[in-house]
Amino acid sequence: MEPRQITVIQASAVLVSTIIGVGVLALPLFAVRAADSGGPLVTFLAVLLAFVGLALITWLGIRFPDQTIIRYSEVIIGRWLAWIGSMLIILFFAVLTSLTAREFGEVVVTSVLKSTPVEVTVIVMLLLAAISTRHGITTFAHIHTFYVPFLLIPVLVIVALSLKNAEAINLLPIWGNEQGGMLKGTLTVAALFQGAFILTAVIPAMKHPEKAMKASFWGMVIAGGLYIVIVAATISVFGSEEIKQLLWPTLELAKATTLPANILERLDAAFLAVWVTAVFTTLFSSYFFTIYAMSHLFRLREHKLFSYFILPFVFVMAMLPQNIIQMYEIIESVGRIGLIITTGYPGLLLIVSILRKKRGNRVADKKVDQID
Amino acid sequence: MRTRKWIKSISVLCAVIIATPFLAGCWDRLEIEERAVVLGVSIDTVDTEEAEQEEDEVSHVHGTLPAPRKGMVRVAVQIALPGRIPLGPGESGGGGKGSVGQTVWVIDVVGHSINDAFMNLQQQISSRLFFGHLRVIVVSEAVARRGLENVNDYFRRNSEVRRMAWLMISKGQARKLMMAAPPLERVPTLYLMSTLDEGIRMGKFPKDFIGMFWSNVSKKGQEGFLPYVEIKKEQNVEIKGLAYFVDDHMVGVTKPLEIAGYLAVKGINPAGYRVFVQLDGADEAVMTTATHRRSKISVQIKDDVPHFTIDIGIELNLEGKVSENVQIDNPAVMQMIENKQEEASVIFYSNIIKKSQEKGSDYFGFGEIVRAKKPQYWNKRIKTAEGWRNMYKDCTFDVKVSMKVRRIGMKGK
Amino acid sequence: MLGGYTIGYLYYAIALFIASGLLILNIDVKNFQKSKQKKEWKVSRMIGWFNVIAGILTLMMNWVL
Repeated sequence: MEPRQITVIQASAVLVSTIIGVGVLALPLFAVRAADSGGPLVTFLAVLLAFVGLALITWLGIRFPDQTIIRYSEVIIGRWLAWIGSMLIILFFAVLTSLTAREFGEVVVTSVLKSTPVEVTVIVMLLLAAISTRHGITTFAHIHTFYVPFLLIPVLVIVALSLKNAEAINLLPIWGNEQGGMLKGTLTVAALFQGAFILTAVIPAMKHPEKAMKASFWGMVIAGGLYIVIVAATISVFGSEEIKQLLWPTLELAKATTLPANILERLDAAFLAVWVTAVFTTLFSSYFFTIYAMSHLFRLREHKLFSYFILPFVFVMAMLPQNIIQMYEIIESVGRIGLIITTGYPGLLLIVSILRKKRGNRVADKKVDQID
Repeated sequence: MRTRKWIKSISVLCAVIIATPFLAGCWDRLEIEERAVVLGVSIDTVDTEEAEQEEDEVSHVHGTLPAPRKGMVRVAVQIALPGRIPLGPGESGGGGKGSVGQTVWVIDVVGHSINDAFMNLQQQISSRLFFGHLRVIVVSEAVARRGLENVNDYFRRNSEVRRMAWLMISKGQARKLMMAAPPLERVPTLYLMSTLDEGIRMGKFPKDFIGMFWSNVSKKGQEGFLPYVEIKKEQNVEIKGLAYFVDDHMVGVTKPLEIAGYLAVKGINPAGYRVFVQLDGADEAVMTTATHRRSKISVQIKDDVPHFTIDIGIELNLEGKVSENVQIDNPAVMQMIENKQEEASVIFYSNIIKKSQEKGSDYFGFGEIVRAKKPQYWNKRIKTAEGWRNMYKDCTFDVKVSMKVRRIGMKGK
Repeated sequence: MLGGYTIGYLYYAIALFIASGLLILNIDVKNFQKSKQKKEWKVSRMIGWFNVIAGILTLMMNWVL
């Protein structure tokens, strides 16, 4: 089907644009709830934790360079156990897709399109993702690589401009005054990085899978660095107590930022435009991974046929949360449960594969996804 | 073959018809002239009985909702008249004469809360109220003293309001500021806004947009403050001081010169206040203007109470003298001016701080310094905003000032 | 159905079920038939009809109840 074409840079671009997503809006709130002015530290710990998870799947991916997690888990722990694990992964990513779409819809309906039904915003976004996923994984990587600069540069500009109103004292003490929720907060923030699991689908299509660790390192450094910068900027501008009063502090930061010489007096509209792209790439990844994993589980050579199939299911799941508060509770708990699936499960697989001395084929210049 | 073609074109048509409502974004279509663009809002107290007479049953039926304990409010809004606001400097527009009513429309309503008042207002005007261009919110002192919870809640919750708008407290009726029509600007609220914006540029006022006020109110170790303004007889606006708060209740107001004290303690640049310096006799006074401020605040814990050392440095220019009795021709005189002003300033700054301590309102944010620099002490002894309010009264301060006169203008002596 | 704001999302869901089913039947099934991918063809026909029937059944239940 497709030759191995994805380079290291493309792989890290996929990671960056997958990780940066709908979560950036509420991120400073999660961080501040955990340890007020220690928010950046919490984010940093979360990045470390997320990197451990990513390193585990990268390591596994390097051991089995021409299979996805769905296939090599069968080799490692046997068909039936692996089937349960894979079903959980697929289900989790379907839920993740629906929650991303719903969170997107809620933000849009609250702040921009107030009389558009939230169902319509969600459907449009899901449809967009569904249509884009009908292509192969190389196109997938190209689309991500294309969007990365559009995600990074505007956010960095907004952060740089907002520093005009920043006060360093808001960031002290760096470990926070009340660290009560530090552990829980770290897990919540780390859950925002779970899209990185997409790497298991990317490695088998990489030109040099042995260099995957480099890609995951840089992907995490860029995405994690951006997250830390956003948290630090938001806290230094608003102070941690004010952030607790705001639902989407990052959006508020864009609102409080002006371009020099009053060219644009508030940047929230510009920021939302960027953010829609960020949400799209995240949604694209989780949607793609869901159907890609499904096609591998059922040993089909095409993932296309599921792209419209899961659309109504994902939509119905997205509509289940009754209100915005409930939605955030669900997002936080689903995220923490997801950490077991995206970090714990690969960890288990890795240990078993080392104990049982299982290993994939060496990389030859073979086509991807060949059915044995 | 023909039917095939038919089916194909019909399915394409169907797809277009289904896609149009999704892609065209018609739900939120709102033409600009259908919006009532609110430029300014004023909030006053109103006599409850009188207000209940005036209020229609818009958001609730009479008698079902008791008047809030804090009393009802009268809200006045300035709505921009589409087409009347001149766009460029060359255009004469409809204004020109500078009287209210040319470019804006001022309407007032009463309500149980801010939101209620806006609903009453919406019932009276055809277009949808739009707050995206809201620049100035004026609240009368009486409302501020009762507390701003409701005002803060409403404007924070509304996604259209910008954080760079100004919230100010007026001496007397706030509605008068909405009605004012200073001849300098064709849009009255822009004049109000530029009074404060220019104040920042000239070093006469700290940056204190509504977003910053909210941040300060939220902080545990700091209280909020807002500009305190009064309308003068020529419809001009004077910045009369800082209205300072405890939580969201206004508790006091400073004198205009005390704003300079605040700016110096915080070391905010540029500097711009001019002061008299009394040298020996009554006639021997000179006037200096500050050009640059620097301040360093450090905190120690002495006997379980925070002790602050404030080290202020100000650069000055000499601006004028009252009589020729003083000759400014040698460094000794300069030294003397510096010393005199230092002495006066230490007392002046200490008094401002003492006054804020009496009111229990730390609008300087000394508490934030304790929270940031002495977290262990803070966690053990203070913890909450309430805790800091109590502790602030007992704090001790040590103010050191160093003044440097650098330039004397174009005159030789 | 597309006119105003609806609190229930049921009609959207029904529309999606039917539309997605029809899309699969019209696009994927045909393509797989052309490229002679037997297994994919079978599966796509199954899930296509599944969605269409699920949509219609929900619609009917909604009318009956």
